[in-house]
Amino acid sequence: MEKIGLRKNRKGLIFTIDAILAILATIMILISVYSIFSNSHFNSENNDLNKIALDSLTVLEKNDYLDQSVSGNLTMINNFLAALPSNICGNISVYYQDKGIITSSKKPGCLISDNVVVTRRAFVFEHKTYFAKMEVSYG
Amino acid sequence: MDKRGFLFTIISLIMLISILAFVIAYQNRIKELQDADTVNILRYYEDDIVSNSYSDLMDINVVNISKKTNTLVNFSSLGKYALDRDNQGIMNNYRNFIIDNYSRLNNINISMDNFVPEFYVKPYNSKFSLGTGSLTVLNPNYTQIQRINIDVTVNETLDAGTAVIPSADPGKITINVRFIRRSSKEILYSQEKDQDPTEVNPEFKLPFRSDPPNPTEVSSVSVKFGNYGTDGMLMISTSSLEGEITRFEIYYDNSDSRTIIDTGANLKINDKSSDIILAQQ
Repeated sequence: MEKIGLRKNRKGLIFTIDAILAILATIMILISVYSIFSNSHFNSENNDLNKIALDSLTVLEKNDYLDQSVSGNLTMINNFLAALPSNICGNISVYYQDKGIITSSKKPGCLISDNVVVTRRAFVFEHKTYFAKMEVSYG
Repeated sequence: MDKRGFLFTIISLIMLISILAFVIAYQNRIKELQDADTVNILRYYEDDIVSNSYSDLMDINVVNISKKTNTLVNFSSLGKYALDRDNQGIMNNYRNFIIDNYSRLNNINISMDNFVPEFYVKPYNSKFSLGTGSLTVLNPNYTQIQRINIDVTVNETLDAGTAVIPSADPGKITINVRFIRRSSKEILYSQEKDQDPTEVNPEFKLPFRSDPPNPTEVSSVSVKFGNYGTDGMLMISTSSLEGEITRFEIYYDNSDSRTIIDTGANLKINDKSSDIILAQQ
C-alpha cells in the first residue's frame, strides 16, 4: 500500500512540474508575440521616406533652390520633384515664418497617400526667415 | 516513460529559451535602429539651424583661413551697414521663429543663447561687432596683427568729395582701404598707410555731396584704426549711405592654436548642445 502511495505521489509531483513548465512556456510565447507586435510602430518604410524628405530639403536649401522659389522661380524645385523615384510622390510648400504659404509645388501625375511623412527646413533669404515643408509618400 | 517525458520537457524548454533569446536580440536591434534614427533627425535639425543661418542673416562669407608665413582670415563679404538696417533685430526675428514656431512644428525643444551680431577670431580674440551703420573690431592682441585690407562698396550716386587721407606711422600695422561705387564698380578711393594702434589716428574718409552743394545731400564712408577707447580698435562707418564690406583680409602672426571664427552662440536641441562656428582652419 505504501509503495502504491509513493508512486502516486511521484506521478503527482511530475504532473505539477509539467504544469508549471507549461505555464512558463505559455508566458514565454505570449511575451515573445507581444514583443514582436509591439514594435509594429517602427515602420521602416516611413523611416526611409523620412530620410528621403530630409535629404531632399537639405539639397534644395544648399543649392539655393528654396531661395529661388521665394523669388517666384519654381523651375528647379519642379525639376527636383519630377526626378524623384517613380514610386515616390512629393509636395513642397514654402512659408514665410508663420504668416502663410508663398509657393507650392507637387510632383506631376502623383497623389500623396494617407501614409504621408512631413519634414520641414528653415532658411534665410534677404535677411528674412522662411521654412519649406515637404510631404512624401509612396504613390 | 518518466525518463522520456523528462527529456521531452527539457528539449521543449531549450527550444522556448532559444525563441526568447531571439526575441530579446530582435528587441535590442529595433532599439538601436530607433536610437540611430533619432540621432540622425537631431543632426538634421542642428545642421538646418547652424549651417548657414548666421552668415545668411549677417551677409558674411568666409573665403578661407590660411596659414603660411602668417595667418590670413579672408572674408569676401562682412556685412552691410546702413542706418535703417537693424542687425540685432534681424537676428532676434530668426531666433524667435526657431524657438517658437520651428520647435513647435517639429516637436522638439530648442534654445539659443547669445545669438547676437558678434563673432570672435580665436585665438587672437579679435571681436567683430556688426552694428547699425558700422562695424567695430576690438583687438586686445593687436601686436599679433600685421596687416588689414578693406574694401567697402557703397550704394551712392552723389559725386565723391575731397578724400581725407591719414598720415603714416612707418613700421606699424598696415591698413589698406578702398572705397568702390556699387553701380559703376569704380574705385573711388585707394590708400595704404601704416598706423600706430595706440594713437588716435585720423580716418580714411570719403565724403559724397551733390553738385551744386546741398546741405541735405551729403553722405560719407570712413575707416579708422587706433586708440578709440581701446588700443588696436578698427571702425568702419557709413553715414547716410549703405556700405557693404566686400573684402576684409586680416593677417596675424602665426599661432600654435587652430584659428576659429566663433560666434559665441550656443544651440541646444533637446539635450544636445552645440556651438555656432562660422569657419575653422
